[in-house]
Amino acid sequence: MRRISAVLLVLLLVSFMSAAGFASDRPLIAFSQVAMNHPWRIAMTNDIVYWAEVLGVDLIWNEAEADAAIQLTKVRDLLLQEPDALIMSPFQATALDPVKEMCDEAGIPLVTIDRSIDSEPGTGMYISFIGKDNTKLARELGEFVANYLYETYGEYKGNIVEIQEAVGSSATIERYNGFREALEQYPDIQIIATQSGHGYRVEGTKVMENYLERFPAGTIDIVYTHSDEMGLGALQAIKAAGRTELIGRLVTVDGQRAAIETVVNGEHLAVSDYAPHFGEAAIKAILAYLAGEEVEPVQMLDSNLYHMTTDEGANFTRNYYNRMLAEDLFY
Amino acid sequence: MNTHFVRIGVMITFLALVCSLGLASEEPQVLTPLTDFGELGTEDLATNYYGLVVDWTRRLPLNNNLQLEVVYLDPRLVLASEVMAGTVSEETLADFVAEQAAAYAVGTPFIIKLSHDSNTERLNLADWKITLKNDRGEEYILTDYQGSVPQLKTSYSRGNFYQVDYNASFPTAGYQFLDSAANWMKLVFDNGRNVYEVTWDFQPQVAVQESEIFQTTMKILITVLTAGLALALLLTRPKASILNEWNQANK
Repeated sequence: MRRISAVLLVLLLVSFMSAAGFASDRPLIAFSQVAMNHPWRIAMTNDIVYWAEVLGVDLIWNEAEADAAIQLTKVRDLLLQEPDALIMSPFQATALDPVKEMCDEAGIPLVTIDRSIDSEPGTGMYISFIGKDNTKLARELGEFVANYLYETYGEYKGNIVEIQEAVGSSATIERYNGFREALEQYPDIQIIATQSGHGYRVEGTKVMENYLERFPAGTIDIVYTHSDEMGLGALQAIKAAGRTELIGRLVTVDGQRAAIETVVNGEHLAVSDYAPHFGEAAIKAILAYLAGEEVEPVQMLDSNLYHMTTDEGANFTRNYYNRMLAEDLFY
Repeated sequence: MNTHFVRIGVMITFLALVCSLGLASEEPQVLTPLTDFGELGTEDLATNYYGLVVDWTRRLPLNNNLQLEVVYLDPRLVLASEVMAGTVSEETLADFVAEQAAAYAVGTPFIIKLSHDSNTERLNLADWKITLKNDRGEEYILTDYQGSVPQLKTSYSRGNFYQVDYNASFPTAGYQFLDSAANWMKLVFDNGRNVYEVTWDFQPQVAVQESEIFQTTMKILITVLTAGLALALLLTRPKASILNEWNQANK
């Protein structure tokens, strides 16, 4: 009996030591992605997976099928695995706001990327929001369009049709408002139609087909889409309809390789960069927080405007496009 | 009346063909290595670095998911990278050119990148015999190279993978390997079981010129035939008096 007890004790000790030996010292970070049905989202996830490896953290992640209720459930699943921190790219600001409370209760730091939630970053366990300033980039794009129309017609005038991102998202609201802020000082530049294309290429094509039917040749000067995918869809519709006067009159946001290529070859007028590269900043913020350092509650990453209308712009855009080819980058 | 239409039609066709002969075709993209260092000037300080990387990079999948990427370090590319790093400017360009001329006279440099999705053990360049060849039958085997530690990379088409970058230089018996007469060069990778080649072709212009000669010849031929046909129609058209006689005879 004593021998059996000794053997059991040894086994217990060995298993305990093994468990201790195998336990990872690396922090475990959970990531909640909105969906994986869009190149921008796939590139965002790839970026986070890459930086997790580079910065030495373990990563678990899931996706929410572009549904706020599903994302809440999926976040709960991730939190049950007791990660050291949660990164969330929320589908909608209000619907996903309860995640802040869930993190507060669990004592798990939360970082949101791309889009924010209603709660104030820097309060409770909501340590940081990392994004790009959608309002600013949309305003810059609006100013660029106004100047382009002035260069083209000798006065600030023109008609713009707009295709919006997903209804209700913070990105949509900010890209909508920022663009208008830039144009409000030019009363003869009108946004004559606006409609949601939900961020997808096929929807962008459909909305543009509708615009082309409603507005005959010569009545649209600029097509503004909130994302490259919709811009590329709109370009398809324009080509299919033979509306060549609109080739080179599209402006979009995101900066994927296919869209930058259309800028280089003259099919798009400009693309404002909103590349989904948040992984490095998000994971570094979490590591800093776990190390007891202070973290900026709001971090806005830089963005660029790609166009070919000036020598400087053309060199910059061509160089960036070549870099994408050389390094096989999607964004 | 019909003859009139034929004549106008032939004239339009003839004019269109003559105009098409005069149209300048687009400048073909030709890969041209810099072989005369005297050509390097201040305008090269503004060259697009990544554009040159794209031009001089060759990619090839090897066996067992190993990927190969080779960049020939053309002197213009080296200059562009130095300009990006801020180590060469207009003031130091002459010194840089002299250094490069001396360096390329004894060695031909490449960056060889080996990558694999997961297995860093397979990224060893020593597993390969690598030979530099050109169209004059010259061959050099690589012995001088230095590699980095395996680095995690990410790309659009491959996701995450590990890569080792090797700075490689083929010692070329005291002269510049590429000169203005070079038609192509290639690197041959041989691991004893498989042989792979990557080639830089410097002669696409020849093919384009040949193609243009063929097109021009065809256009001239068509023009001559059309003009001949028109002339034949005009010469053989029935005279009005003969037609009248024929009509009267048939009445």
